[in-house]
Amino acid sequence: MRDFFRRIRDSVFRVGWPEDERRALMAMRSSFLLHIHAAKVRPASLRATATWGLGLLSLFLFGSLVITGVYLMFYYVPHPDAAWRSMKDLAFVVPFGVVTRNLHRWGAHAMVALVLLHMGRVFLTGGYKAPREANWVAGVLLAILTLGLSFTGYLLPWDQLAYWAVTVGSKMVASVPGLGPPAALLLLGDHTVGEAALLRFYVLHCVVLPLAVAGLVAFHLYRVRKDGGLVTSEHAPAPAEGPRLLPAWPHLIYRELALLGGLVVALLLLSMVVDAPLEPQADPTRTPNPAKAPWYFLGIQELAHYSAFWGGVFIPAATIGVLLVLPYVDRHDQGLGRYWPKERRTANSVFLLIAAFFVTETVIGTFFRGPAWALMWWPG
Amino acid sequence: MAEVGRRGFLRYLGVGAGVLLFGESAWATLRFARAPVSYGPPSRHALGPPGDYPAGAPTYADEAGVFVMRDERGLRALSATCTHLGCTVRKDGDGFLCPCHGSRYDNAGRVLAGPAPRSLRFVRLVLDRRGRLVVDVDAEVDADTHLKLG
Repeated sequence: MRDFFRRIRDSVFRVGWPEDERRALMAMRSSFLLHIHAAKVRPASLRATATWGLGLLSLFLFGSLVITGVYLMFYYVPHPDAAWRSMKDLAFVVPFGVVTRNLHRWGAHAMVALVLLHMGRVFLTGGYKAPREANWVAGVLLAILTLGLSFTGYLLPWDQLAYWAVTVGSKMVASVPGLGPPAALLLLGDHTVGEAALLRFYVLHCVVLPLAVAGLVAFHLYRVRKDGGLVTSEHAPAPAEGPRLLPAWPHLIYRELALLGGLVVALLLLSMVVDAPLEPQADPTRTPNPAKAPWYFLGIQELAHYSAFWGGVFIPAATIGVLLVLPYVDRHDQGLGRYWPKERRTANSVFLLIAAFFVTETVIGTFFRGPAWALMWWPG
Repeated sequence: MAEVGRRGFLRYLGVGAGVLLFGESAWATLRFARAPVSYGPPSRHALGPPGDYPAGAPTYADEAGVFVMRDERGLRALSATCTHLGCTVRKDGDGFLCPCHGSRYDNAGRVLAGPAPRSLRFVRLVLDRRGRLVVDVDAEVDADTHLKLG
C-alpha cells in the first residue's frame, strides 16, 4: 500500500525533495512550476535591491485577486437591483464575507501601487532597452490592464462612489473628439451608466481582462528568461569568492516563498483590521460631494478638473504613448542595471520629474481637494 | 512586377483570406457590442401639476434631474447634469455648483467658474393632456423658451 502512494508521488514529482545541489538542479528543470526559473541564477539577481520583488509581488497579488474574486462571484449579482444588496450580504450574512471582500479590495490597491513601482524600477535600471523592448511594452500593457481591472471592478459594488466615478470616467472617454462618443457607447452599452454598463463591466472584470492579464503575464515571464534574466550591471562586483552562479533552489525559491509568505500575512492583517468602504446605494439623481475616484485615478481627476479632454484623456494617453515607443527611441546602452548611473542621469531625471508630477497631482487630488473640488488645507 | 508564382499566389490568397476574415470578425464584434436597445431611464419624466413649482427659487425635480424655474413669462426646466463630466449639480447660494470638479453656474445656468465648457442645458417642458408637466431631458431648447401657462 505504501508502495502505491509512493508510485503516485513519484509520478508527479520526478525528483524528490532536493537534498543536494544535483537534485536541486534536477528539480528546477523537471518541475512544471519551478522550471519558470533558470536552474542557476546570478548572485546579483538575488539581491533585494535588484528588483525589490515588485514584479513577483504583483504576480502573487494577481493570483490572490483571482482566488478572492472567484469567491466573491458566488454571491455577487451584476444587476442594479441586486448588486449593492449582495455587498450587504457579504458584509453581514456570509461567513468570512467581509475579509474576502477586504482582501480583494486591498489586494487590488496594492497591485496597482506595486505594478507602477515595478515599472519605475525597470525604467530606472534601463530594463526597457534591447533586447527587452518587447517585454517592456508587454509590461506597459499589463499596467494598463491592471488599471482597467481596477476601473471595471470599481463599478461593481454599485454604491454612490462607484456610480459617479464611472459616470465621470465614461464622460471623459466621450470627451475625445470624434471617436469618444461611440467608444463610450460601446463601453456602457447605453447612454448612461445603468444595467447594461454594470453587466459589461462585470464581464470585462471577471473574464476578459483577467484572461488578457494571464496571457500577457505568461509572455512577460517567458521573455524575462529569454532576454537573459534580470538586467544587472556589468559593473556589479563579481563575487570575490564562491561560485559565479548559484542554484535557484534554495537561493531564489526560498526568497520568493518568503516574499509570498510576507505578502499573505500583511494582506490578511490589513484585511482583518481595515474594512473596504461601501457608500449608500447608487443614486443617479444625486451626486455625492465631493465625488472622488480611487486614489490611483485622483491624479487624472485632478487634471480633468482643468479640462476633461486635455487633462483627463490627452495627458494620460500621451504618457502611455511615450512609454510604449520609449525602448525604440532611447537606444543608449550604458549604465544598465543601476539606479542612478552617470550615463542615465538625464533619462532618469526626466522620468522622475514626470512621476513626481503625477504623484503631486494625486496628492493634491487626494488630500487637498474638498467639497466641490475646491482647494483646501489638510485634510477633508 | 516580380513573378509571383503559384506558391506565392496561394500564400497571398491565404493571407488575404485571413486578413479579410479577421477584419470582418472585428467589425462584427464591434457591431455586436454596440447595444441596439437601451434599458436606461426614459428621457421623458412626468413632473406633476405646474402648481407644484412656485416662483422664486428653482425647484429640483429629482426623478428627472432638472430644476424647474418659474418667472413672469412661464416655466422653464434646467438640466442639473453638469456639462463638464455629467455629475449632478446642486443649488448653491444664488446659482449652481457641481460637486465633482467645482464648476459654478449662475441662476440662469451660465458658467461662472470651473472646468465646465458651456452653460447648463435648458430642456423641453410641455403640458400633457391631463395638465401635468412633462420634461424631456434629452431635448435641449433655447434659454428663453418658456412654457406659457393659462
